[in-house]
Amino acid sequence: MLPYTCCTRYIRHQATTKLIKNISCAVLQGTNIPEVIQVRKQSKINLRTNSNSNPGLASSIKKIYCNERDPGNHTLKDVGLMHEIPKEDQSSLVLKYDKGFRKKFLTEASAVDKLCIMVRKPGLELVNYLKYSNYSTAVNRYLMYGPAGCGKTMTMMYAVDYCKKQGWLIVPVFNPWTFIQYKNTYIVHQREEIVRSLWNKERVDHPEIAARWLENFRQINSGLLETVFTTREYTWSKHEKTKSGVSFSTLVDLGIARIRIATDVAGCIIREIINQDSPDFPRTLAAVDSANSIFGISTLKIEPGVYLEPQELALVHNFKKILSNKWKNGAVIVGLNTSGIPSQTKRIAKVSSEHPYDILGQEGFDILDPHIPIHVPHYTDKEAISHLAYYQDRKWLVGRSTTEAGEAEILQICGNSPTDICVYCGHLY
Amino acid sequence: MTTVQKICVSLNMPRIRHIRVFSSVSSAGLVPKPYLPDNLMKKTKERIARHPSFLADTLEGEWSDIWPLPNQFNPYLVPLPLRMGHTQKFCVSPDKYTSVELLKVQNFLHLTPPAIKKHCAALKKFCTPFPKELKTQQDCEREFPVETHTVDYVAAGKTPRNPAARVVTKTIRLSNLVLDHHARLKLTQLAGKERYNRSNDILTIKVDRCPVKKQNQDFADYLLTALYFESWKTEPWESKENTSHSDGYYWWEDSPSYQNVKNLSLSWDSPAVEKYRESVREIKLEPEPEKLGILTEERKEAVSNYKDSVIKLLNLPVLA
Repeated sequence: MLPYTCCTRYIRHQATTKLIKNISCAVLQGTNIPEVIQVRKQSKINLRTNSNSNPGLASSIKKIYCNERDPGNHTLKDVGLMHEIPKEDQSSLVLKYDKGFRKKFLTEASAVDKLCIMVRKPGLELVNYLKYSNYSTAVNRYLMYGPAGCGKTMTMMYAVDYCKKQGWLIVPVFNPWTFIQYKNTYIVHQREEIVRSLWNKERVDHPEIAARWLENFRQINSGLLETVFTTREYTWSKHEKTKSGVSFSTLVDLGIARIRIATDVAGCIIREIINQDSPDFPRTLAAVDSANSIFGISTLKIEPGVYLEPQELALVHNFKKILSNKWKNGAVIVGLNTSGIPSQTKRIAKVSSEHPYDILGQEGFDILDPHIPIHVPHYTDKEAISHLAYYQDRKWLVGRSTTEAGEAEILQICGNSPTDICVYCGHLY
Repeated sequence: MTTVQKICVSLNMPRIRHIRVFSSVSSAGLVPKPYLPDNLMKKTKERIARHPSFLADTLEGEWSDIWPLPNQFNPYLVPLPLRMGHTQKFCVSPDKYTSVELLKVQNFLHLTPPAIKKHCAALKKFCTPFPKELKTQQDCEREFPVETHTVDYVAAGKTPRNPAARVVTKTIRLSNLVLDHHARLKLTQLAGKERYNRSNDILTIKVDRCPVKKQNQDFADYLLTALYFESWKTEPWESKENTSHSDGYYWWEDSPSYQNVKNLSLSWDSPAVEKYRESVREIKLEPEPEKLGILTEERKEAVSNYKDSVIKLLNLPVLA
């Protein structure tokens, strides 16, 4: 059964106190109410009557799921419908470490027993570009920007789903934030070790994180790795070599087994992708989320008092290479994490930003230029109602929430922000 | 009315109703200071009362003739029974003839309203009327672009000096100066962010480092002239390599954006490249926003212009 009954009260207390705390803090300090709440436009649905018995607008929606399994065939008429990801695909899309989807979304998916991404206009735009771009010239870059919690990562996963169905090779860099910035320095197991690199003395390796990344890489490209081969010989250290013509899967296995050289293996994979020559090489999609962490500051210390810069990390150096447009036959999708603008001190200012280039910085803009910035805004009214209809279909929202009054309450509090609807509905009954 | 009251009326001063003429207190046990025996006290009182300052008829002419300039307090000239000073225990309060406090403080007896009127009337023949051409604020600014702001402080105290009076602020709107693109950028950078307001285009220079106001004014003048002439000079180190986009310069041909577009191997003559160049310049040379991170209308337009230009450059279809 639905597992929310035990923790409803706690979650409701948390969510509402957070909302109230935000507003009251702002009022006490005399500042404006946080922009997250201000920017939302009020929904223009006609919610005059607040009856507690009539079913609301969401119950009148009949078609909720999209019948087309391939995102390439979705059109503008499908906006608002839910694109389902069946269980067979979930095993390769939902990765073991550094998941692409947000944690909240995955818990909701496990509660509701279905993983669905809503079809929205930015997603359709992206897939349209991916369909018709010219793959014989240099790579196209696409940048997602928008307010916090509006679905940048979800549109990215939607595009990843499309690419998987077309048989592309995917390079997932979903959360570089975890190894550049430590959020919890008190939990000892999250502190990973950093080691001087063997390949290049000036850089620094992340052995365990690179091993995890290789596992992710193996999981998301389940069948393809055996068909791709390296083109030259690599010497990892004095005693270890790999000859040319070895498939990617053996490379990845080697990297996972020998953690010491895992970062170098990752670098070698990326180098192969960038310098690809043969016509059999599959098209590659590099999906980089939270790209602003690569251009920001890190809190890692190699010696007491000496902070590392992100460029000195070997993994980051390699991921930056894939962001450039020096290679062909692929695409790069970049997402931004809006919750941090780096400042001069080692602290990140807790300001949520909508503007893409404030977060990326000048260096990021230079590397990504020319790219196509895609705006991922808040929901339209139709999309908000279809989100509620989806919850009702899964029997998550029952009782008063299906009435007009309940709907009016939900939409008034959450506005049109997807994350807020997700969080608020998480404890309704 | 007593004589003193009559004097007050003629001098235009606030009427004093009740005047207590001092008298010796000689009850048992209480001894006044200064102590004089009764007969001597009587004599001094008579002598004082005979002094011309107590008699209204002897007040010759206007007050401004008697007290034309700032002067130390002269109890014989001032016909008012003023008292100042701390009263000691069992003593009468000191009168104006014996109190030193009255001599120490400033008095503004030379600045009575009739005296000021007389002075202004005398000066009037040297003045010209306010020019009729200067009707609006903009006219005044056109003729006199530099505005000097100083504050004078008046307080009743021991000294008329106030250390806050030395501050001098000069403001000028930069559109009144002859500046080319390089000079304007250099001037705003030399002045600094706190002194130049971009929304008003006003440069403010506040000087308080010298002890005297005149010195500060001269220094502010010097600063303005130095800024203006320095901004017109180009130093040898102000070359292309050393300037960055934050200074206001952006050469697209030398930038990494150009290198990236080169990778695309396009024809350079197409109008798409020109449009792309303009949009990149617009984004790079954006002035610093007041609040980082908020998408205002202009910034939104800049980003969407950039998007359109890149779509045209890469020949991508737009979603119908």
